Amino acid sequence: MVNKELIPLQMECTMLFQSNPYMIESPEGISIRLGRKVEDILPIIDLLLKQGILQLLGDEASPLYRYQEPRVIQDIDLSGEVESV
Amino acid sequence: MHTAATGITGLDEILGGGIPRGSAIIAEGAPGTGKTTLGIQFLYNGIHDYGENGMFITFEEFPDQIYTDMNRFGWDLRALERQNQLRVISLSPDTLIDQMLTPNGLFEQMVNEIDCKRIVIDSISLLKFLNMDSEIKGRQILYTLRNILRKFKLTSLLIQEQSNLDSNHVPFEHFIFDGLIRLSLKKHLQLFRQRTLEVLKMRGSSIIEGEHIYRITEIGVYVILASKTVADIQDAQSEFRLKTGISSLDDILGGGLDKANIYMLDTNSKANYRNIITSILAERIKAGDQLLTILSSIQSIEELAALLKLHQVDLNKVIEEQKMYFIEHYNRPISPDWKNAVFHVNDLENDKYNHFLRYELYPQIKNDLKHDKKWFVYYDLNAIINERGTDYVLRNFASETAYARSMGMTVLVLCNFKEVGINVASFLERSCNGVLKTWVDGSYQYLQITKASNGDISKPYLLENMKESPYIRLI
Repeated sequence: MVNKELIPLQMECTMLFQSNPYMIESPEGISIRLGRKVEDILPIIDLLLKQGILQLLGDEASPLYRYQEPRVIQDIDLSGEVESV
Repeated sequence: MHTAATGITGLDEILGGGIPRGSAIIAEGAPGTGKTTLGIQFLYNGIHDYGENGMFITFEEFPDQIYTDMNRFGWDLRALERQNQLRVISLSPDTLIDQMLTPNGLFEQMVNEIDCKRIVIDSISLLKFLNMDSEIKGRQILYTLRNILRKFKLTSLLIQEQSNLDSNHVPFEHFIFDGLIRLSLKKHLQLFRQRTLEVLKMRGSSIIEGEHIYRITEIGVYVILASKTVADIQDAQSEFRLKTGISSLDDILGGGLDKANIYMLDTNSKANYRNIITSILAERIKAGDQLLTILSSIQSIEELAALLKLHQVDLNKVIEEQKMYFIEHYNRPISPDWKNAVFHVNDLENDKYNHFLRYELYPQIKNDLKHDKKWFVYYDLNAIINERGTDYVLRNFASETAYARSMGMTVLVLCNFKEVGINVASFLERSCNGVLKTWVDGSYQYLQITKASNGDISKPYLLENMKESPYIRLI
């Protein structure tokens, strides 16, 4: 598949993990859950790993993946910056 | 607390408080019985009401489907996850076992991460398929699972698809896990289905046996205890509860017999009821009641005196104090000391007998009642039926008992329903406020409350002999 074709699958995969944050799956498991071929899923997983959306668990011989919650900073103290202005 | 309350209405009562802490229980049922709802409710209530965090492991379902499904009960599972109180984990059965076996594996990490106390696995049926080729390996996996759950001291609910109801085959998991709750769907009124819940095993707990109906309501699974109609709230210690002398029987009766009520003891010919009757009579004498007894052909005053003596009651003294009277239908010799306590009615035709009751006996009792004396009547209905006929009973029983009630008297009637026939039995049952049934089946005797004024029907209890007074207890 060319890169352009990967985008919808990448979205599907991201959505699957985002909606099910404590899902732990092997590439075969992801392919079953999404109803896609494993060989199409593998490059997507690599991509999502690089982007930090997925986290690799276990060893590479029997890899498992789970969602990595984005780090959200909820409280930022900007009072110092405000005073300096 | 030795139990982890489920917080599910009715279920904790059935379980005697909840699931024993650290034990692993199977919840088994056919599709649509609400197993997943039960599991999530156990976890949600644990977090919400008892401060115990939990983990839900699903093999087939998408967690987001569970989040959505449970929203209808107002359970926001995602919010609990954000607060690190809950995890809805989706993984494959082999991954779970693998991670459980790995030191500091994912399972251990997650348990520690949220300080998990409760876990639900949906479903262990799939674990068995991990090793379809070897039953021994399948058993080994379940055994390992149980041991790991115990190691982490997790109170566990393991969901299982309905097992084969064929009684010749008991699944292995029923032996190794600590308890079994079965959810069933049954036909009800032709078009409907009735959901029932039964606890078939619960190690270390005393459970309420039987199939209990449950509904899935807007607050989740809601269990209505079996044999319960709308019960009145009663005070077990109230002076309106008359103790029977058998503490286990008092407990079942909610404190004792209701004052000014009519109770029937239905007994089959093999059942030994004398200990029950004597214990009640002895207890009433000790409580200071006035007693009236209708003697039967097989029980004379002498025999009753001997039985009461075993219950530490001296009948001579009771008669001397004018606290006990007898209606005698048989021409039997009696001790001169007891003469004044006996009304001989063997010569009286039915009309005259009725006249005697209305115009001689009742006024005497009424006079006593005016002086705040309490009356208790033991009425051997078998004797009245034998001597006066069924017609007499059908004509007069209801009015006699109604009179007794209106005078605040408590009446214990002895009868053999089977002997009197179904129509008479049903009439008698309607005339009484409570029915205690005792019968012998094989080499065991049972006792069951089949009708009670508070609407509570008991399970059948086994009667066991004891060496000391009251000589019997209910188990």
